Amino acid sequence: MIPAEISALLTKVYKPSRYAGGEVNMVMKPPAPGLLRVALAFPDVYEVGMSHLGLKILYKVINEQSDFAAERVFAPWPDMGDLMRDAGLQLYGLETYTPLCQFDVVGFTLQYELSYTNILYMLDLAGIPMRASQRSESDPLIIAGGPCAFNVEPMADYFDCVALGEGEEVILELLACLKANQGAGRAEKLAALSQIEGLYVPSLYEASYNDDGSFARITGKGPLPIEKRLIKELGDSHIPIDPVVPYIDVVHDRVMLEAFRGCTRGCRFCQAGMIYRPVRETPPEVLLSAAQRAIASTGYEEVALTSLSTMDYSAIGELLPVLVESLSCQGVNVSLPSLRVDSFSVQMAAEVVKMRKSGLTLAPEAGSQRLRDVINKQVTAQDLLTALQGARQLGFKSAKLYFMIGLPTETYDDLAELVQLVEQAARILPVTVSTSSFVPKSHTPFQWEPQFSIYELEQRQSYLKSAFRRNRQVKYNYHEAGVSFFEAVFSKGDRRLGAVIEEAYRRGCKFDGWSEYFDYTKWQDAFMSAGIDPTYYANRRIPQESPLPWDHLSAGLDKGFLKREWQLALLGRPTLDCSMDLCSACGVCPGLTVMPHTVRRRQA
Amino acid sequence: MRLWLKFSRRDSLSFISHLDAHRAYYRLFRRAGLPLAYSQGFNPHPVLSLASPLPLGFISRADYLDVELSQDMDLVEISDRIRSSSGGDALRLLDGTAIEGRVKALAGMLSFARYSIELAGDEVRATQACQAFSAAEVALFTKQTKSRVLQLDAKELVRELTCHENVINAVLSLGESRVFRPDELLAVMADVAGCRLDSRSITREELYIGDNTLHTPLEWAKLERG
Repeated sequence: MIPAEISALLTKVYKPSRYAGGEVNMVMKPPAPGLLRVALAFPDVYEVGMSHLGLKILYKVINEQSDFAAERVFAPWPDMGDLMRDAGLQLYGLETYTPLCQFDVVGFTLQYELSYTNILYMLDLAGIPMRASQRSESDPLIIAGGPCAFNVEPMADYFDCVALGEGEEVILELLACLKANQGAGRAEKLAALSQIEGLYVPSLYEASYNDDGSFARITGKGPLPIEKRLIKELGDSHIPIDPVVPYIDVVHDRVMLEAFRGCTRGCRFCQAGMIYRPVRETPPEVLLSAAQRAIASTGYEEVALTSLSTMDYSAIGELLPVLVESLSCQGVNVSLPSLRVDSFSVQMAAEVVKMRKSGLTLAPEAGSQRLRDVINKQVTAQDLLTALQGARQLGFKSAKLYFMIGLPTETYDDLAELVQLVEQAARILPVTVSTSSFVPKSHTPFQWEPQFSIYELEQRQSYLKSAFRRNRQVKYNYHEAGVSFFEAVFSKGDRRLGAVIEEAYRRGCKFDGWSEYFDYTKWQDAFMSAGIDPTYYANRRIPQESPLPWDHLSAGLDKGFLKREWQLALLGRPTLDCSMDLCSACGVCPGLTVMPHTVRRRQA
Repeated sequence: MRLWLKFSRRDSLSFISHLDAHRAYYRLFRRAGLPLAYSQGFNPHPVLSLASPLPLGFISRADYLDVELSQDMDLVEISDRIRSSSGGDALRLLDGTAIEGRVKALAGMLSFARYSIELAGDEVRATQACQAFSAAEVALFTKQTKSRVLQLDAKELVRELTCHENVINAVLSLGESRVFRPDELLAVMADVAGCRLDSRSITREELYIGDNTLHTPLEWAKLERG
């Protein structure tokens, strides 16, 4: 039953189901002595958080244990947030409506730099002190994980503990450790956690800086570096076959089956491709059986094969037809979230997958061959045009093309080639072109690179805008450069940015990833008042010999590999995919004693 | 085979839209392994419709589903499967019947709905408001529809109105362009009685077919079968 003080608010807000809980497959464990309770907190709105596979996996592995309970909590949209404040209602877990402050652990996922203010917003709504140093023995332990954990430094002051890498094993070790230390004080618990591989306790470390303001080093009482965790082989136990099924339409509202983890195509801008190495495929029979069980438990009408590049799954040709066949009799479709830029992908997608043939999305990423060589995106203009021709023959009506602008070494010649390529593509099918601005990310070969200034990015956007204006077959969209700028600032930030995030939140910043809430001026003011220049982080080239604020947070990558890749980028030389070709010596496999694991030999 | 099924829903299922409720029912049928029949045409969809939309936040003890399965099945088995797949008791199958022969869509046959409205105030106020409304000759109000503004007499849209303690029991019109909602009724009653009326909860208790004599859909189906 929804408590009266909550349901009184639900009739007054937009999409009340976001705050009501009670969905199919929800796991409800009432509080009991000895039960350790975790709130899995997603710092964005319900529809975004409920689309996230990681949350479903952690929810499953925690709730499978009789000693532990996991609940979900999302960032209330401002309409609900305001009403909760007025009513004095604290943020609660959706399963039992228990206030967050009564949990043992609150775990945030760090998917996106611009959701950092939402973490403070949620802690604030929960009545939990934002800074780890201000929390008392009775407050929950605030932990975090996810891709941005690899450079969590800007948020280091706010977390008691951070997990690096894949979370399904380490979360259970963390909870078991807390259970074993139940009577202990906070400091003692944190010291115990810091001894678990993959766990980082920021308060045990201190950052120092040189006189010129550049980062010097991290020193501390805990182990250095902290190595990421990973699952060596993916199997049935990693697939959430009975996820919570939302009642309202969420972004990805379907069964998600992880065909594989990791991608070693080696695109040099791509952080996901670097931090989730190596490739590990789930056996096809596991996927087939999981699909059936998941449909029986959820009633979903769609199953997606997810991964960073599903068409690279080595057994895709044999899996897809069987999967489609086994589901179609129940009125269930199969979908593929990401397609490669080649005709094989397009044919696969169209022939065996009953997808709506309205549109097709392809990501050539850069417009010129020179620049595609720089970023190691091994796709040619001909690949793209052939794929589009195939798509047209198969009945697709339009295509979406994704490009990045502002990539390292980009000139207007590259942009002119981008325009040319798009014009050729538009003669085959009407296209919608979307450009995002390159954001240099930690743990990539481009981590030392500056981002172009906002002014320069906007100049390049207007160049493309005017180039496409007269072409009625082309629609052009682009991401706001100011947003990409702050993404870059926090991607490569250090601990000094913590104060700015709190200042921005105090000034009203939240839901910064939503264009209706992103407020560039407020962020600028927050930086100004903290006396920090954001361009120092986003627009400066870092010398390769300088220590980096995230050097102690290891994704298993050898820094020499990243430097080598950076040099190859400048030379425009390729590095091949080690799941299909030679090892590129990134350091992950020997360092973490793991091997790439594919069902068949992958074909380039 | 065609079925009319009666469900109750509350809690989380009271806070979703008509469209979301449809999707929740499709998924319930798929979990239950009941094969829905699909419409013919370019964009086939399951033949399943909820006879009357439930306003957001209302509890329903009378959600009627007019649905077609692609094969004949035993009613007991259907109800067993639905009951074991509903996922909690916020959604419950109460009753149901098979529909044979040429019968129109249930949605188009409904004429009235019964509601119980629990008021937040005291029972004296509830009684006074009911008496004032019953004594009034007319109770005009305006209703904004998608295309126009209508002036209607609430007295003509209320078939039954009683009050017990702080709960109002009302049978209100559901007829085409004469749909009268319980929250609208409260506003009109408050107006007539000159007092404030706030509801604590509103429950849809039943839906009816017929103008002179009212029958629940399942009673009506039984009479039709003779």
